[in-house]
Amino acid sequence: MFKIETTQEGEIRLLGRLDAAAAHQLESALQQIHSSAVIDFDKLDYISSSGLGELFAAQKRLQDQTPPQALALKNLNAHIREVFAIAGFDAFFDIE
Amino acid sequence: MPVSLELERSLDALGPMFEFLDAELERHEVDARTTFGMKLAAEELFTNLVRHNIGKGDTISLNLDFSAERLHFELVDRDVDPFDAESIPEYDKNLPMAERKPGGVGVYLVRSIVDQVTYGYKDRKMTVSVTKYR
Repeated sequence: MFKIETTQEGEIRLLGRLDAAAAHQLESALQQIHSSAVIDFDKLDYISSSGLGELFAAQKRLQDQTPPQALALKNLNAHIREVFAIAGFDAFFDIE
Repeated sequence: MPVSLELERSLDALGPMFEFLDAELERHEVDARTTFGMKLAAEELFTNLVRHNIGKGDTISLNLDFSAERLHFELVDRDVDPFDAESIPEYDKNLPMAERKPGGVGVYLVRSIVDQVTYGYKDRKMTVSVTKYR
């Protein structure tokens, strides 16, 4: 089960399991973002390459804008942080 | 003792697959980091079979054989054309964002996390086998 919420602070919160079947939900949500934003992973338990791919595509699109914008990620659990590191995706995001 | 689950050839099967894996990994007292890695490996490889093999079978088999020494699973896809594992693009984690192309990261993650991934093909049946030592 995967869910996306917007917090009172205007941040995007991901919840549950972001697998290949759920990635299109993230894609739709990220397509609505046109300026810098924070994504909170506190309630996200799991991510695979499909989720990484959607985040990467959004980051690339935002950074290609003039002026460049960016997604920042926070509260990644240890396993998800390790997946970002193995894939080399930690270099593309500001991770708190 | 080996256990098996027949998975519908669809991403909708990921939910049942995770439930099955969670139960078996917990039953074998596998730690949280390894549990995450085994689920990731199963998802990436199953998803590749669904997306890239034009298999004619309705289901894909997931066979688990977990022990105190090793965690082993295989995905068996039937009535598929030959698959060349060498055709999987090399993934370079050090490429800058502008030079990245889609594809390859899933298999790269799997190879980084587990100890062994092998592809077998015989009689139009493809078997992807994964082993991680405990």
